[in-house]
Amino acid sequence: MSKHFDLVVIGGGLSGMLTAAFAAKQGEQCALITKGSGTLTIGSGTIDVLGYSPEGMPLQNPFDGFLSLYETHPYRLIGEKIVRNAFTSFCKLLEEKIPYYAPSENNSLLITSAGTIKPTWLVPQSMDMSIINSAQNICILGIEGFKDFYPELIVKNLSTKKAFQSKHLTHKMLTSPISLQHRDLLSTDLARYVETEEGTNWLIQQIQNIGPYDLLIIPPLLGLKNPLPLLTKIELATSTAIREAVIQPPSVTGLRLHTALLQILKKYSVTVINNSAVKRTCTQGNSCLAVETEQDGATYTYKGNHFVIATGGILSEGMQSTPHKTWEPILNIEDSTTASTHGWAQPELYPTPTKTHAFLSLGANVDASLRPIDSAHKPIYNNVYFVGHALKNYDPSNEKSGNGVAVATAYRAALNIDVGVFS
Amino acid sequence: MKPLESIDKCTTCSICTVSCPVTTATQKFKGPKLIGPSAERFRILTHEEMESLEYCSNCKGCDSACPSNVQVASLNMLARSQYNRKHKPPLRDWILSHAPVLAKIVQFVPYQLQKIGLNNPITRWVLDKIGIDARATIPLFKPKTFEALLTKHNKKYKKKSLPKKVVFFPGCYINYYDPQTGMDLVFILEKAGYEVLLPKVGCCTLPLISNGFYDSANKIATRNSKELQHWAELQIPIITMCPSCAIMLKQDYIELFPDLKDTVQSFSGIIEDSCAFVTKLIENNEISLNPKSLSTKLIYHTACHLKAQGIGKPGFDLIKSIQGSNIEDAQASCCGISGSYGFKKDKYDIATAVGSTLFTAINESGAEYALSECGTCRLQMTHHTGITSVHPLTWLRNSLN
Repeated sequence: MSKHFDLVVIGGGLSGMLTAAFAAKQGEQCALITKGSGTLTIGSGTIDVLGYSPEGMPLQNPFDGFLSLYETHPYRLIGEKIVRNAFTSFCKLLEEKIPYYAPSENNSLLITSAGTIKPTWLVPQSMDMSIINSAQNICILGIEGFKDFYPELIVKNLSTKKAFQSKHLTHKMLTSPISLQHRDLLSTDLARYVETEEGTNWLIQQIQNIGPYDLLIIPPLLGLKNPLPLLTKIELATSTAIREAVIQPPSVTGLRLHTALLQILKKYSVTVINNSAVKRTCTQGNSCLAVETEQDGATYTYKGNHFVIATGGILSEGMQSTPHKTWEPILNIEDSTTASTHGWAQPELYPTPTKTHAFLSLGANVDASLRPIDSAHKPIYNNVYFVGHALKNYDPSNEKSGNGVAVATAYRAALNIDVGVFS
Repeated sequence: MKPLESIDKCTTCSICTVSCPVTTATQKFKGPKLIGPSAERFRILTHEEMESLEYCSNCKGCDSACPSNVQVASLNMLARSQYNRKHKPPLRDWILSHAPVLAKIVQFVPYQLQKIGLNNPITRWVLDKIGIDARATIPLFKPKTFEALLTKHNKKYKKKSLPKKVVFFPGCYINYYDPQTGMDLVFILEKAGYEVLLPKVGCCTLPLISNGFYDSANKIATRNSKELQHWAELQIPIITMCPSCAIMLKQDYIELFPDLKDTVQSFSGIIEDSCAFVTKLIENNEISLNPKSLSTKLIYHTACHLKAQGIGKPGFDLIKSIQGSNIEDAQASCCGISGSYGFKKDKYDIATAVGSTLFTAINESGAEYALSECGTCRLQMTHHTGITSVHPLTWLRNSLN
């Protein structure tokens, strides 16, 4: 059986879903083939653009850091104008589901469940921490049975930070509204409960009981969908400003974005093939004609005019390696600049930014249209594009640029497929 | 790779936990990550089971979500079998997993009597006492099995003269509870010039595995595999209508019964979903269909075991490809029933909660019919929404002239 599409996207993470959504919104017939369900549900769901310079300096304005990046960094390849257009298009695409925005031209600082600060750029209102500047009396609120969110630890760590030294930080613990059975509470359990009328009233009641604060920082409890209606309702009822922190997986804030994107794919009739890994391409000259999956001994062919590879980095198996070889397995393109795994990893888990883990930057070399290129910088295929972490030359962990590069490259890839409509 | 070998691929990212419909619905289940790959390490050490394993419904949502190919569902099913070796499973689980045996007993009871017998309050009270929820819709054994219907049909119309052959694995649901759906497939295939052959097979054994009857399952699976290998050697296509049978035959046999690997690999590649097969017949101009009453609004549900096969949604694509059709993809997670799971008294409410997103989607869609390839999904959708649910090929057949 074979089907023909305008665009076949391989990979169901943020970059893959967005490429399909951008293209399908313009009327292109798209398919998305994905092995797992992407990694959005283990991330914050906010769009980090560039938090740190390559030297590890925090950036106030992410765009100011662009010129200090390598010329082959995805942002440099695409150019700031298109990157900015990408973020505008992202916000527009998500508008009806979860409104995202940049609180200012500068990076916005999120609070994590470890009491650290994470720079990001686009956020939903429930995570917009710009309010913190005017807040003096701040309370971190935890819930018994919900592990990995210890308000005391958060307060302790935040207190050491300059920005918080003049603030009054306290913490409170609420009794769990859900009786504990065989496991600890998950953020998803709590968010689902707060979504119900009973749960909303419970949270309002609890917040009213603990007294007035300028700002209340909570784990992400405000439902599994767009948090804005619940945020507005609860803030009004309690006359307290409330913001959600970034937590460890499973992440409700990432899940919300994942769910919203799936709904958008449905709206634009994208064919989604789950639990399926693309094994190879069928090519003619420098054109890709089709990709093939293998499921339980049978081969399935997906023909297309354009193909996007959004399979992620080495941790998502978008890149594969043996001790002396690293390659992208679908097109079988070797990453010759990292011939040996020796020296890939630093001894520290979180090395200082200048000595990064090299394995995080493995990927495909591409041209300005995101087509993979050979050692002579010639495109290997004229209708295949790489997006997101499958790209080489950037380190999402150290730069804090993962979702930003995903959004920007997804948008850039979609431009290749339908040039007219975006201009 | 065996399920046990796959545990080291788990990075404990917890993506499966978010995707698990049972974890979503209840606090009673620890979740796929903890009960699957994480608990497996303890099982190896202590051979003691953790509480809450029984809540895994074997829907394979975890397998579909996992970015690292960890065989979570099969780990759980093997652990359940191991547990049952030491702890005798309840009678209820035996009943829910042995349809072919029950069918042999029930065949002596007239259909009308069976109807009265099964649905009267006393019977339901007794069943409820042994753990089959009184609220569940229990499917009835039809007066004639699919096997009987097809044998009679083939004799009557002497279809042996048809030039092309296809082997159909009906599975228990079609064979005992819903034979007409199987006959709808036969109707379409004969129109395309195919004679439908019945292999000498038993249950696919998925209900046995889900309820922890490993040894019985192994015996039947071995017999089934040999039979299917025979047809594969003759290069006759093997098709299924039930996604759970398909995933069991193609994938789970290898994961659960490693000794069968070579035999299964001889036929797994030629097993095809019935809707995918019919789509191919249309594309190859082997059949031309002119359905009427196309504008009827339909809603389609993807069975979890279809999703886990990684072949997309053949039934949805088939109906959608017909000009003028009006079909919506519900895209709403699991229906909750998971074969025998939703019938159990301690699971009925969980199954209802699991399916609630789907039921809302169906109710809000304004659709006249719900379509799904899976028999028990159809049962569950009708049970909770009142909508008539049919296999995509039944709908197609009914709309032909």
